[in-house]
Amino acid sequence: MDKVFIRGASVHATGTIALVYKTGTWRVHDPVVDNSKCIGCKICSQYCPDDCIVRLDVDKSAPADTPRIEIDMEYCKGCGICAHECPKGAIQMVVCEA
Amino acid sequence: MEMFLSGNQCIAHGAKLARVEVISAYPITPATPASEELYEMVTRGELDAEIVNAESELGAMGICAGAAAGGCRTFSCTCSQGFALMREMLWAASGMALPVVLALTSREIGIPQGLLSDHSDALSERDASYLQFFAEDGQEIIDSLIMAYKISEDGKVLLPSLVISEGHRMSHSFETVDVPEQEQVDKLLPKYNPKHVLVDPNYPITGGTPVMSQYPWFKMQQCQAMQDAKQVIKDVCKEYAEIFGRHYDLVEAYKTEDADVIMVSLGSTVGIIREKVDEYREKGIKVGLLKLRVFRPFPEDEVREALFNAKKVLVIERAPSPGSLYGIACIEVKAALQKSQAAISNIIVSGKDIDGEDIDEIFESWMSREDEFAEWYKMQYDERAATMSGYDTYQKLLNGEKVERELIEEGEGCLSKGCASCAGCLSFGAIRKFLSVFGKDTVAVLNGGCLGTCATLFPLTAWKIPSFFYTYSNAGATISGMEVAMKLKGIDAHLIEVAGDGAIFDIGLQTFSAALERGHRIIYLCYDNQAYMNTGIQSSGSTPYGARTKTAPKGKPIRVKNIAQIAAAHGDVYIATASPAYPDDLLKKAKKAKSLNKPSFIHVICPCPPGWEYDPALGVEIARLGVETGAVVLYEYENGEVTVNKVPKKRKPVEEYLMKQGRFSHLTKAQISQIQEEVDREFARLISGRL
Repeated sequence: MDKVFIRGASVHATGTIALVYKTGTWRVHDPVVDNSKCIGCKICSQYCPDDCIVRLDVDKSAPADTPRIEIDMEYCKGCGICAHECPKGAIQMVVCEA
Repeated sequence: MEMFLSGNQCIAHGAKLARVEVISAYPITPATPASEELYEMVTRGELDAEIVNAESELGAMGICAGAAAGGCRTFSCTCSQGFALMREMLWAASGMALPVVLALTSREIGIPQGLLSDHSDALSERDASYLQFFAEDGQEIIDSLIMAYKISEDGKVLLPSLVISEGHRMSHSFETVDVPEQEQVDKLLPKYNPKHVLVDPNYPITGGTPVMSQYPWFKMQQCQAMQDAKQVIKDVCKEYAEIFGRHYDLVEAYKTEDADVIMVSLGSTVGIIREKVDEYREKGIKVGLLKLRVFRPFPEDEVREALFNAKKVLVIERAPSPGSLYGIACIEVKAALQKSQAAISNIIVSGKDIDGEDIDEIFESWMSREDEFAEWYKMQYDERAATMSGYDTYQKLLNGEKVERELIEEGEGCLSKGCASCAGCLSFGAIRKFLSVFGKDTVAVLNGGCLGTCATLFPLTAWKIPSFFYTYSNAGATISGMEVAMKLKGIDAHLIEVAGDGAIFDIGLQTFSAALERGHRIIYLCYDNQAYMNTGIQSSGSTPYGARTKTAPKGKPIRVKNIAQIAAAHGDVYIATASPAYPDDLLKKAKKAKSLNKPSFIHVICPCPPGWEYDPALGVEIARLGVETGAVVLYEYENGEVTVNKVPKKRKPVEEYLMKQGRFSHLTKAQISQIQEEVDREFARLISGRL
């Protein structure tokens, strides 16, 4: 490399912010899912402003406490919208351990 | 009185002591806290001034120029891009001989946009006929501002002034300053009472008449006034010293009389060099310092007198002049010293922070050399950043090699995780959702605002589609050019302008309007958080009546601008409102906009936890309440008809929506009733099919 940057501060790569900004470190409250209450309705995932929740592909006949959602803790900022919007009260916001 | 103030607070105190009558500014980091402080002073009744919220810096400067012509003492503060946008009115105000005073917290000017202090914004306007005072510390900011009014308003001068400090480095640093007493300032600075330009129905004048061959004469007069200002500055400094005991001049020559080598600088770097001069003197080095306090008018005589007999001169400065080997200050110093034998060298630091160790390094290297040089100081190249920015890919592209880039499919999302938006930011939530119906054939343009600053920071980007971050006032223009280019190149792409309420309602309205009028196939996605949230919560054209912001500490006294009616006035435009609480409705409207062969304007009202003052967890609930109360109406507008998409069975009282937000907590019952009436009226109109 000839010790130059690409002019105009252009970035010829995509999504590089996710490699450096692990926004999960901001969290002061962790979302904790009670799998026995979660029905996999997807409301939490559609409201998560950081796209951190995915609904897992779980068969309806699966045992009640099978995890039905997965939260990406590497990026979840702990805003608590998921817990507040959950119709079953299946997510609790718990103070992070130091 | 001794006070512990930031640089921005010093600016506010200086303006207050000068008893400014009209203040107009536009939010820009890092200058904004100065105007916010003035808003608070006016709200507390400490300053009797009229504050006019401008829609842009160009507007702010125009308001100041108009008010100055109307006989008022005026003030504005800005920096960087904002100052650049003022340019047309800068020249108009100086040409009209209006003594407007501006505080400039200088900041690196884009592109790339930076936040530290490079003096290019100020010094690139050195020919705009503005007196330029470079302050070294907070004390000098206050003193220079007060003196600037006295000098600018002097009948021999009648030119505007710039008092320049440094962004973040000074604007956000606190120090103890001696704030002058008002009665003493009043003695120095009488009321502004212009005779040359005055709006007065009883005394008609025609101002600013165009000229033909006489132009050079007017310009010559302006240049003469600038030269005459030197003596006025000296006189005012003398008077100031007599009252306040602090001495200023055009320059400060520090231990230069017997110096063999002299460093020259301006702004905050001067303080560091002064300490170092004392230190080097103790070691027996005959070194001195020349501080360029006033850059316009340039004090040639004083510079020559201080530097002429030195063997070596080193100008350490922040503003390069592309195309010249030397920085702007060095060019001036060289011109003043053309007959001197001194070897004049130049170190350019641009926005880099400089401390004592840097001065040691610069000084040591300079002393070991006999040649004349012009160099950039200790440029740090970040190999990791370059690699991350895709430099290797770029090289392949330049070499004509085949480059395979990872492209997204529809539904994957155009933004990656890791954005620095606040926890619970529903603007980002809405933007992500909206963009999810688009795939790789999409180009995004953004202009200032939270999205630009939270999704990108070189070499980091959250974008997975082409995206361009242009300046704030350009919400419609740059993307119009791109749309034309895409057509010419035969590329079928969706063009999305993702702009905040500031960029659409206020500073970018002109370009937004022109783009709609031309009918480009562009989707305008306005993430409207109802104030300038990126600069720290100042009122915008979209801030609702009664909402508290930093520039409306008692609540905004005027109603929100009806942007949909403005957009509709342009003819065939698809207009829709949306809410992050109703993602399916938002997706439906995104898909509709995507399918159309005409401009679309999608207006999403997004709760903002810090700006609306609520617990981030409640964001969706508040957005939903907005719709359930009718404060936010979800509708589509096409072919002259409004269709309301969500009609609450029974609308809840708007109070339920307002009282969840701290920004409305101060409202009286009467105000809430007034808002309810307005909401009822708007809702009735929309439900009847009228926009």
